[in-house]
Amino acid sequence: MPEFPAVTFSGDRDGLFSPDEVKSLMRAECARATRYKYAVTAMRVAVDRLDQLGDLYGFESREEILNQVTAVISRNTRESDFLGFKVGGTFHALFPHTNRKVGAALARRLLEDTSRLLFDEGSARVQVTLSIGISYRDAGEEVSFDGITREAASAIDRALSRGGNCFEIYVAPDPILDSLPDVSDVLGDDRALARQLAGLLDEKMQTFFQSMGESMPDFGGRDREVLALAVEKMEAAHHQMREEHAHQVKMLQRRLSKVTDSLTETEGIIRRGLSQKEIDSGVASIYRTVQGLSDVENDQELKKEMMSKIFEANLELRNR
Amino acid sequence: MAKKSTQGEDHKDHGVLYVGIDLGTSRTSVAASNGVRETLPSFVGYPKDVVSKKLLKKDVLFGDEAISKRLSLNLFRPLEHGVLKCGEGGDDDAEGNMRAARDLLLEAVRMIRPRKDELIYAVIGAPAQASINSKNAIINVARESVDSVMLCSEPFAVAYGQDMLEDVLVIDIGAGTVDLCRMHGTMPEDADQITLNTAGDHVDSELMDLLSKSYPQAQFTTQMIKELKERHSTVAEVQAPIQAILPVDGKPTEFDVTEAVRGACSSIVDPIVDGLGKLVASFDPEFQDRLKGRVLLAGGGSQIKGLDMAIEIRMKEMLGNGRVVLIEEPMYGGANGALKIAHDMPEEYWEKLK
Repeated sequence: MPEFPAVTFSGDRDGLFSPDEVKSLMRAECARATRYKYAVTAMRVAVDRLDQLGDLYGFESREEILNQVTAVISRNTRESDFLGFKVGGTFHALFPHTNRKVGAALARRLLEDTSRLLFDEGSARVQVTLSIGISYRDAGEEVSFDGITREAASAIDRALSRGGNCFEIYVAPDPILDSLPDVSDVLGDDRALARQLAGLLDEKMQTFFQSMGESMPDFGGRDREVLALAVEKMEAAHHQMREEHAHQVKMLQRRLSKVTDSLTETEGIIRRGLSQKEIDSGVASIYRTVQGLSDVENDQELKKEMMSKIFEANLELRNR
Repeated sequence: MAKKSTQGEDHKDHGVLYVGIDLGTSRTSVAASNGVRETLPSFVGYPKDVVSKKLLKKDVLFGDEAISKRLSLNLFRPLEHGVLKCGEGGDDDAEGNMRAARDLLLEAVRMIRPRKDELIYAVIGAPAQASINSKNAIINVARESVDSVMLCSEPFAVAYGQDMLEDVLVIDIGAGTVDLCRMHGTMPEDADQITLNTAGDHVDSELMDLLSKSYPQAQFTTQMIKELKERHSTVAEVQAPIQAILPVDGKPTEFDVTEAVRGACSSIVDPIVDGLGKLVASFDPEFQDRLKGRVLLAGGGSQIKGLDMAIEIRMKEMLGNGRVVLIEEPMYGGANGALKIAHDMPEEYWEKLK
């Protein structure tokens, strides 16, 4: 893992690198994350209502708050392991080797530690809170610096719109949800909402039948029942599919168990083979010196003739 | 291989292992020129199913181990009446018996521990009057385990091993056959040899019949009878009673089996002496007495107590006189003789039969 230069958030011009240089380093880090397939998390941290607090309590208080928040961020992160810079009252950071879960845990810690910060401004005690936007890429995903920072910006906007003192993880927009019409103008009017939903249902069903090359039949006002029936059938099909999958999983587990047994048996054979290091090389023939055999035999001629006859008989047998 | 250092050691470094094999119906004995001699019952067993295979941890079992685990095995006794059950006699599992015979010979060769680099030349004893098909079957089976193989008549091998080549009558009693052979200084021909089926298995069968008649309540199997015979076989008139414990309705019960054992064992004497009589009668009258005075008794069946005496007595009754000599190692008589033939066989003959 590369050792990053320490970057302080104390001020735009106080760090070792300028924000542009840090951005370049961030781009290089994103390219490296793509190349070496590790996770990356981008985080954008803003102090809630910072400008209002500055207006109310003065510039010095604003700077004090930023310094304290910087200290909190520094305490909770390993400065050498991340890249960061500050623009105005917003902190931008990129954490290599940090996945969604770790990123969320870090954000939670920052929120908790910041909530303990209290600024005594004479008659008032000011509570500082943060809004955090997180975007991440899992290991193996392509990381684009512009993409991930844009997503972090989008996430912090959502956190701010929720009232702050929270963190948001960027979620890619759902094309289906996005395609739904805006019903905000009819909220509260049940009939209007029902009409809009019925129209939406009709539209979806027409699309469905068209995709099958058929026109939508007339359900005689029983659209709901038809829909319920369709859902029931779909669920039944899903149930059957789940059962089939469960059966396949069981089969695979049985096969796995069999392979495991076979491997155990093979290991046993190999172990037995290894234990027999002393392989019997056999006993060499000692020819004429055993079984009472000797070079000097009686009836040599007779035996020679007999051997010849045995051989001939065997040769004849072989040639048959 | 030993390093050549002297002229005398050239033979030791020959690189050929000579083997004599007595492929018997009941036992297979091997003797090799490396000094190893082994014998094992001619039984081959294959696990019946995957359960027994897992339990036994072997693909094939031989001899006593196969007999003791026979309930978990497809057990084969590949020889009958001294020849392979290769379908000639209408055997229903010829293929299984051939496989068993092949494995049995491989095991026999493995037991003599040949060096990996040695050629194995084997002589196998076959019954005197085995058919051409039977002999071919044995050769085909043996070719897979040895480099060159020859067959010879079993009783001839016994006589050759004893160096008794002239005017000798050989009786080789196996489990499947009794082979009689007349040696007269030349290779025995068909007329010099007689094969009888009244051998060890015949004794087992007789003993079973006699016990079934005497003790119908007793339970026994062929294997139990075989063990009983091998332990107590006798034809002697005077001896201690033979007590056998056989189950009756599951309860071990003692029976006096003396008469049954003696009767069954004696049943082979007359056919043998009849056969000897035929061989003597067709021999040169001038040498008949010499022939009767040199009767060699060999084979596993020769271990029946008092058999040599019983044959002698019967020969005196039927042929006037007779002298029977029991060879020293009845179990290895055939294998030793076959080894000696293998060793005496000129090298070029082995080469031609490769």
